Amino acid sequence: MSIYYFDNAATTRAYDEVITAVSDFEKDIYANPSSLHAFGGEAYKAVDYAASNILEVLNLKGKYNVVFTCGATESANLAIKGTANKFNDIKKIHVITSVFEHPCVSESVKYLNRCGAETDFVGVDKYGMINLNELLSKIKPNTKLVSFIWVNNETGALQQAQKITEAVKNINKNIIVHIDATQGFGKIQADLSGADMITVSAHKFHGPKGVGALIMKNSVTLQPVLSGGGQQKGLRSGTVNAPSIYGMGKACEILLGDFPYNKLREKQEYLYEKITAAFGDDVINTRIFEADYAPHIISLSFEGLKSEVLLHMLEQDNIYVSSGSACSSHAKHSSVLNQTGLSKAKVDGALRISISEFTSNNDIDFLVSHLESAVKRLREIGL
Amino acid sequence: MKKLLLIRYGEINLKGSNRNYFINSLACNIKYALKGFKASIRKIQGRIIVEDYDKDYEDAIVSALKKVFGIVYITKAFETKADMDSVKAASLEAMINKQGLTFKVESKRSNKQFELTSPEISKAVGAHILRNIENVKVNVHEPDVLLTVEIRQNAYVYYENVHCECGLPVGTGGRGAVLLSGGIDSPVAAYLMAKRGMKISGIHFHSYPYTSLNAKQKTVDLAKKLSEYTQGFALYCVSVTKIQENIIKNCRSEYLTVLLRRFMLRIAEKLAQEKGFQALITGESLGQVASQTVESITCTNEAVKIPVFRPLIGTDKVDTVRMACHIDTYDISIKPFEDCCTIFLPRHPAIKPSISKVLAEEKKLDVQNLVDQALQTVEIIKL
Repeated sequence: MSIYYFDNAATTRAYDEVITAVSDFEKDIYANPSSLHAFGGEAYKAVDYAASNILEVLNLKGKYNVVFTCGATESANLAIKGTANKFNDIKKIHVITSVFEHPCVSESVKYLNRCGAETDFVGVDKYGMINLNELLSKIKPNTKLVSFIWVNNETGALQQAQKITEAVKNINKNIIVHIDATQGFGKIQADLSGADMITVSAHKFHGPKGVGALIMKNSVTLQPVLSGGGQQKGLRSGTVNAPSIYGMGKACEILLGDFPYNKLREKQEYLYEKITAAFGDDVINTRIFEADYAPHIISLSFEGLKSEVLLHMLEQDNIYVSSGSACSSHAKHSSVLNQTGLSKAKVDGALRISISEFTSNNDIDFLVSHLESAVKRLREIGL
Repeated sequence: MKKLLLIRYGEINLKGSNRNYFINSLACNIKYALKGFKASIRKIQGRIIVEDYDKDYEDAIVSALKKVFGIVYITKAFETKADMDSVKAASLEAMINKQGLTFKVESKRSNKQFELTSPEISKAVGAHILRNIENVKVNVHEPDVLLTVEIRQNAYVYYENVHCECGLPVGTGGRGAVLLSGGIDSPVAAYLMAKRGMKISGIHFHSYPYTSLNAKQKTVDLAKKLSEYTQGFALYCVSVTKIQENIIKNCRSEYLTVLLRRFMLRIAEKLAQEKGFQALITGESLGQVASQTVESITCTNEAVKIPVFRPLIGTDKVDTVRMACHIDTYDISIKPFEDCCTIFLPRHPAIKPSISKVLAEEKKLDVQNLVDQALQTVEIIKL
């Protein structure tokens, strides 16, 4: 039975070439890239290859270097805590982020707050766009770090990263800007060259799971979070995960050959039209014709329905989507959707559909027709 | 000299002419519990002996036997020839590694031909131990180790008693089916009935896709735990989704729970007729929730003729929780996946429903048809 996978914002299927590359590497070049012998040197080449490809995807070659991590959560933690820990007295620094972040950023900033740092969370408009004037007005002489999400993982809202970065740097060029590019990398081409640090994760763009990177301007320094053998210039101790890093590099190579933005956007518009034809315009949270959004996510809400029930109904036909929030009374309400002014009923009924280049129009037709019958079934019993 | 486990049973000894039936059932259950081990079983008067096992597995064997109902004590022992030299040698073996402890020797002599009397045996064995093992002392009032010498056809030296569950062998008390939810109570109810000798199967009602597959898996995990006590367990999973949808659509919401429970009992009764269960078992406890008041139980019970056992009816929750911890089901039961009852739960369920009103609500449904449809969904999981 086929799988209809619409949860690509959670993770993607790795490219076949990536799977082969990783497994061959594990078999043939299993040396530790930090070893001094020639075999270790072979493994190290893979790390260089991946770093170079990652920088090329963002067109940042030359001024940036790459620290490999186990994923976006570690990268964001390193960026945020590593920056704060550079200062002698954490209580004297000020950090700004938005209310629309992934927990790897928001929880790291909250952690700094518990350590005594001053923190501010800037609001967003109904499209999820960061209120730039509010952000700029929060900047103080002791503001050391601004961290924001490029593409929001729940709605796909796409921030004008360059504009935000430039505006912050215009006020104080010494403020470190960290961009969480986990959802945007490999899908959107934009100039992020103003940023000091950029977080990415391989499994969101058909790379292997368990590997990510923090891309850092050459001039930026950090206090490491992990103590250990001093690998990666002391910034990230721990044996370098060469096979997965090689796989990440391979995924970038494929992206560079055929950048998927246009294909994704076409499919997203098809999905959008199918959904609005079936349910009307009101259900859409990701309003792609009104504001900037990434090309792979559509968030929609069925007011009054429990999205988790819809998710399980679709799952019966091997259709996999994500629910905006859990309806279980035991689960925590963690959605950032209510930050855009969405009612609780709409948050409870929110589904996230996220596509990839493997998604076909037939898949989308299948999803929408099954979604229609599921919604009808629930509406009939008045749930 | 041979190491063995002596299994002693209590209540079975009180049985009259059918005592052998109980003993044979117990021996069968012991065999089942030890099917993963190499060991043989032998019946002697008043006891069952487990022998020929690898002594490295003795603790694991004892743990498995502790869950076999009908066993009162497992005694670790040596069997030897009925002469004093052999008895003394076995006693030394039993007292090895007991340095620093106190001991007492007791003797029984059912073979009256034996050369010494019981007090003489105790005295001789005690003296032998004191002469040969350093740093042990006699304490006849509160010994750390009670060494029992029993002279029968052969001689036995017992040195450690493990207290077990008691009860009656599973299978000697007929066959029953427990209505197994994912909660704390129903596994305990099953355990209590199995302890009185009932062979237990389970019936689980789920409302997938309104609940997740995790909720079902939780019940499977519970059934697996129970199977350790019941020497195997068949779990029948039945979907009541259609029934819940029909009740929600057609009936007053405050009667949902009582109507659904009537359906559950009806389906269980049908399954019982088909599979040969003689009784149903529920985890109900008087007054615990709205569906467990005397009025609600009267209304649900009215739907079936088969006896419904409610072993927890007079038990406080704290005691049920204590038993759930004892049988190791508590940690599974408190996992946060909703079972079939909670997601549709009315805000104000009828606490004291009257049978006439319940019947009036039920008239709005095609009961027979819905029961038959539910029976079509039965899935059997053997554990």
